[in-house]
Amino acid sequence: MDLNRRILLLVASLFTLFSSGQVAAQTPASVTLIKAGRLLDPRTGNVLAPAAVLIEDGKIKEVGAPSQLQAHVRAGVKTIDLGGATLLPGLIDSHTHLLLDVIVPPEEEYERRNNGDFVPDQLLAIVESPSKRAFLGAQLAREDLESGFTTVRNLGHSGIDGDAALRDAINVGRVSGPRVLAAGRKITALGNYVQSLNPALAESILRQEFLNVSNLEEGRRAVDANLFYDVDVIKVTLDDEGVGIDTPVMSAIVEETHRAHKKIATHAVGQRAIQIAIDAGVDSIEHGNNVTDDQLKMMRDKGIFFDITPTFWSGFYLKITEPSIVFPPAIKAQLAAADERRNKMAADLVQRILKSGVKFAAGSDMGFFYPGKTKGQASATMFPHLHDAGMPPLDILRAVTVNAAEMLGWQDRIGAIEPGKFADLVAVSGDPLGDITELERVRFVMKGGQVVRNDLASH
Amino acid sequence: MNANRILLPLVASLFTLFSSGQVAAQASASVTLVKAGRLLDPRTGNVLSPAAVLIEEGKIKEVGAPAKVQAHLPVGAKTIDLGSATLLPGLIDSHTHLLLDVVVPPEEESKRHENGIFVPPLVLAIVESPIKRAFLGAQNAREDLESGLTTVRNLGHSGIDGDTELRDAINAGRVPGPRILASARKLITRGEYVQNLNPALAESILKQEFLLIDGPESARQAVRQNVFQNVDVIKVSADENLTVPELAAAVEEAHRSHLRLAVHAIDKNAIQTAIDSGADSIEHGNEATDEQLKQMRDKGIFLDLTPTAYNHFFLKIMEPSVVLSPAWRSTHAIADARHDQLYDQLVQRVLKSGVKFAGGTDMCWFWPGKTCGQATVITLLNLHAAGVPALDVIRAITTNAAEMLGWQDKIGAIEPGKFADLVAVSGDPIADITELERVRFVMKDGQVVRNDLASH
Repeated sequence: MDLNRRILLLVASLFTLFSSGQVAAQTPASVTLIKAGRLLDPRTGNVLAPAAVLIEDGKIKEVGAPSQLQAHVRAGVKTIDLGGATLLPGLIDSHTHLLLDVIVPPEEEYERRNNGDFVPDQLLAIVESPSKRAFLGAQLAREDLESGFTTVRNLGHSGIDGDAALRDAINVGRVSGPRVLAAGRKITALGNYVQSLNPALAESILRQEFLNVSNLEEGRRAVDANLFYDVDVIKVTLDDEGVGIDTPVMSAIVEETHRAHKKIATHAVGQRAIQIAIDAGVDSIEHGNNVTDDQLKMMRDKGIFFDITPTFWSGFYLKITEPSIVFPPAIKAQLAAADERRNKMAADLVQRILKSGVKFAAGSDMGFFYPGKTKGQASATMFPHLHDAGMPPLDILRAVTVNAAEMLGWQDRIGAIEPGKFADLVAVSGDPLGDITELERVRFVMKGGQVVRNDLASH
Repeated sequence: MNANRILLPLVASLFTLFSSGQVAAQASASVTLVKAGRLLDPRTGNVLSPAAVLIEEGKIKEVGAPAKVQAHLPVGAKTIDLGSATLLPGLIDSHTHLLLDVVVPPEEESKRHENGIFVPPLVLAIVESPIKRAFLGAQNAREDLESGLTTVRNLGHSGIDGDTELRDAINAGRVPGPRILASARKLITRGEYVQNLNPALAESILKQEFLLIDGPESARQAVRQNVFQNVDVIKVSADENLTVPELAAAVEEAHRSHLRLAVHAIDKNAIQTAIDSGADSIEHGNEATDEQLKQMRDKGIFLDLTPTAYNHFFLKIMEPSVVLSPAWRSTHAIADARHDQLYDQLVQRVLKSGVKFAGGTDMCWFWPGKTCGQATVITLLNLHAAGVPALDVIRAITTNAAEMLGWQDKIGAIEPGKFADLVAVSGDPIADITELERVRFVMKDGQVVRNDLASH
């Protein structure tokens, strides 16, 4: 056992080496110097101007004024000059779904096929070929990276091993994408997400996507089933009313997860569900829309992260549906009214979160197809959504860099531009603190010291 | 049923439109002019110099002297100047395996795990996650395209639907790769490829990769199962256990669905079975007799030459990663010498016979330090080392392959109406065929995949 563990660790570190750049395998010390007009540290809000970052073998070695760093590099070292751009840590989407892109159907389809959430695409994604879905994952992963998301946490809807296999394929360079933390199958009670299936097929279909649990033993086994597929994190979905998974079952799931040194992210929207998650000691609450002030205080005191998902804020639903669906006027009026209510809720939630002192990150929950946008561009709409709801730009930046890194347990690897961290960087032309939509126009992306995108090359 | 038939071609043509470029969706008539010092037509060997190719919506519209073609250029058209390079049609690998990359194991492993061929990666590829395998396919497809292979025919070893899904993902722009003709599962007789499995698992494992033929009716059903996965071609592996009635049933069923049927056949009995059953192409065909080559010529059956093992291929891929004992090395060296000698003879007999031939790589091997595309081109060029003249090599992997695949109206030549699948090399590939190992420019469907000549 001990020997196995040691070999595992060795293999793991070899993989890290590989993923931090094939370049490293070719030339023993690959060094790059990046220069930019400004470097914004989201932790402090401080700006270093002008700035330089020295990268060696995929990791950040030194950060400082260009004159100071240039003294430490040999002549002729590869230099990337980003002109007047502003450097930031690579963005982190702490809640996404890379293997699902729901195309919202016409209203009639909803009425006819009442088989659960995300009709009909969630069900189709499960029953169609996993290979087909894998290639969707490859595309969406590439698109996320191209928009500056250098790390994402995939929280379900990826089949039995879709996200874990995608992570591994990215790490060995088969396909291009961000660092992925994979959750495997969602653990949930029977009846969530997909319903009303052909009884002859129901069990087989559900098993492809979910681990349905109703008691302590099933809860523990579900965690173990995901661990078999080498997941990085466990995702549990609690019903709004807290039906199906109660506090003792949730506590067993948390215990089993922590025994394996993994974190547990819990979908909880209603107050009862949020309370079960808090009482069971989860690591993060996803969505949390209906949280009370008292619950925010409990989360703060227990160190539970609030992962805000501003997906449907700022009129998102109409934006993604209008290019392809005709709404009857009555339905459209209903949707507009719902948007208004949602935006009010969002503004209130953001104020209460900021006031409470709870630790928070933000995720896109992007499992939707946004006509005309790539997956990365769709995910980046969360930045203006948070801003519309009243979150200051610096807090938004913190949420998707340093805070997210801490929530993921990767604060030693990502989330800041400082020596020892992976060289995951993005750059924007303007000042993201003055205009948060700069984050929707990322011009430069580097992951593990490798340039993914550079639209500033002419500088 | 009839309505379905009408809808299907419509859907297919919509897909073609999509795949012929997202650009097309942006600018309603996307026009590109490609200029180069030379354009080699493999059909005739003629060189047009200087040359220009006008491309509209992913298809070739006009080919001619730059002065002439430029006169027809609309305002705002994009021009790509490749300097003095030589343009050729995109290359075709008519026999590959994108979802398998066998790493040859140390000698001891081959001895211990005697579970069939490609020990142990073939069994592992079947029992590991199909998702994992899908990403391998994505990588190999991209690497093939980057080396100038704009079309490949994937003949098995891709699970139940790995190659059909990879094809669809490429066509939808999810991942980059060549045009793919997919065959899904190989039709085989029991005992080929994988053996000695746990009896409790054997049937389930085999079913993931193969369709077993045991009588003519099972052969028909196997073809239909692949048709259900929307394949482009049927692949059968013939050995001494496969009978003419079985293979003829598969051929008939494939042709009923307007699909061609490619038969793996190496020894002369298997080759005769394939000929007598009316197969469309014989893959490998190493031991074809002169009489059989004549029969193939007369029946219009293609020979798909796969010079994979030629020129010490296995020693080359093993040397960087496994220690070869002197005895093992010498066994390989002797076998290689014998193989190459026979292959040289085969090539001469093929050229003399007048049989139609194409070239494929059978690439499913990991070559340390090379991409799948690099290994593929080097392997195709073994045809030249074995005695095929340079122009015939280029024909084999362009125009001949296109005809064998039944895609002679779409690919294989640079002429109006064909897809704009082009490659360019710096030098003259007729004088130095290894120029094809250094493809500098790749265009598929009018979209630039690679252009190392951009500074010109």
